[in-house]
Amino acid sequence: MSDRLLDPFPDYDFIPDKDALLLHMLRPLPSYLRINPIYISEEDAVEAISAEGISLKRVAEVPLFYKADWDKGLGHTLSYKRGLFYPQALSSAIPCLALQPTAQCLILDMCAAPGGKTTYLAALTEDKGLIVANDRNIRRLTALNANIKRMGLTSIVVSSISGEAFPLYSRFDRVLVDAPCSGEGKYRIAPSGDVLSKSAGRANLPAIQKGLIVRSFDALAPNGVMVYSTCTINPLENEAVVAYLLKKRENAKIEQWSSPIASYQGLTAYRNHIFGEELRYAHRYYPHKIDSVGFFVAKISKSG
Amino acid sequence: MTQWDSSWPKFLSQDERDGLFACLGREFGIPATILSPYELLKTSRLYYLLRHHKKIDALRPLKIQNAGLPAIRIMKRHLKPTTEFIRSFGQFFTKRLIIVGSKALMTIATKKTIELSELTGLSDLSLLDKGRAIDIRSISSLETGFYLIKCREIFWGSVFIRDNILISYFSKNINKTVLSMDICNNRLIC
Repeated sequence: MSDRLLDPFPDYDFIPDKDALLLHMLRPLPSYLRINPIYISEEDAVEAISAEGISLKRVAEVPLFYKADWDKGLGHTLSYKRGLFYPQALSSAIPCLALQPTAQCLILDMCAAPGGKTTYLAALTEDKGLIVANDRNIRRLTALNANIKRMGLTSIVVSSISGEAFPLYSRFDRVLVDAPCSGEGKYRIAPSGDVLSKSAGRANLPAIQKGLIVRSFDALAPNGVMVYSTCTINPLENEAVVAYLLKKRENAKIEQWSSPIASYQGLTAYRNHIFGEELRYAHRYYPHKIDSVGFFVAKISKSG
Repeated sequence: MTQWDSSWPKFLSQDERDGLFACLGREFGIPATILSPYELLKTSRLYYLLRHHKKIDALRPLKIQNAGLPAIRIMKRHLKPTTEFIRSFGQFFTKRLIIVGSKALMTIATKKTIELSELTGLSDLSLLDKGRAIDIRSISSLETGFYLIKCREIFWGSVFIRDNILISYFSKNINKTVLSMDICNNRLIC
């Protein structure tokens, strides 16, 4: 069957079971949601959401996440309007879990809008940490602010500064860089054969990502932890960007980390690009292996 | 120590905090201890709650858009709790909390101004006062000010009451939500 499909990734021979991925791309991704435990307990929120007819199945490996079976838009439900949940791809939880935020941490979410990961970081710290949610696009802040308010979070400060120029007078214990990317992990194939969810932008994404990762690392306190993530499987937006940081900053090191859901090692080379052995500690998530959006996650530490 | 960037709302001093807590205690019966883990910040008409954190001073020079959760709006001489504040802290209000039935909730979402007697004709209305629920019909006149509305264990928003006239301050979004609900079948489902 895959012979008849247009392969959107003809150069990616590193994808495991690529035929299975192409078949997987023919159907919509399942819906997941994350419970917001700020207003009421997780159990009570699950009960209220289920009472609206949404069938929930807990994802044991990922705190607060549930697979949701619902034929209408989750955003139209009363529970959503009450701020009891956030519709969120399962894999987008992974960068937040890799960051291991605690209530004692000063946290920077460099590209925060629309706020899915920011609000998850707040939930993981029981709304007791201190999070700077930054996004340079002031128009995207409307959604970020609305989500922070809807979920009743009190531990978040919002800024709108270009990531590449983020001021360095405050050093953060944790920094999340969920960089703008080509979004290949979200691609779906329509019955017509067209690739859906394809980004229309023509920006030089690797250049932007490299600027962001270096500045974010510089904003990190000694012994701090940074996570670089994207929702693309393009090595030039992932491993190449992390390799660039390792070349630019000697005190940057990729940390080994155990993923709660199925992942593959980062690539050490791709075509004529050599990234280095360290990159195998990064994690790749393929849509057909996790039944969610494809992701890349690298956990990076800064020596003192 | 570095000054706070001018983009930050003003942090309330201890005296100002005490004054606001006393006011919230007097009007809504909120114990001051509930809000003690938070910094209170103020713009001209709004108080924000920001969780206290020992590293907050590191952000003094940062130019920001906003900080914390909008909590209490200043409306002339009255304090109006925001919808977000009500959702988080409604459970701690021991005064000025009105518990209504579904039909009364629907009426509040439909009309901006309502005679209190119109609501009492639709369903039972209880007022929580010092933790005790009282039938509103037994009270000749309610104190002027903002009241919370609770229906089916959900905090929906606030109303202003003066001379037994109720003015709804439900947000457009809440009104839309209430009006789209399946009230006829006695369920709260959109």
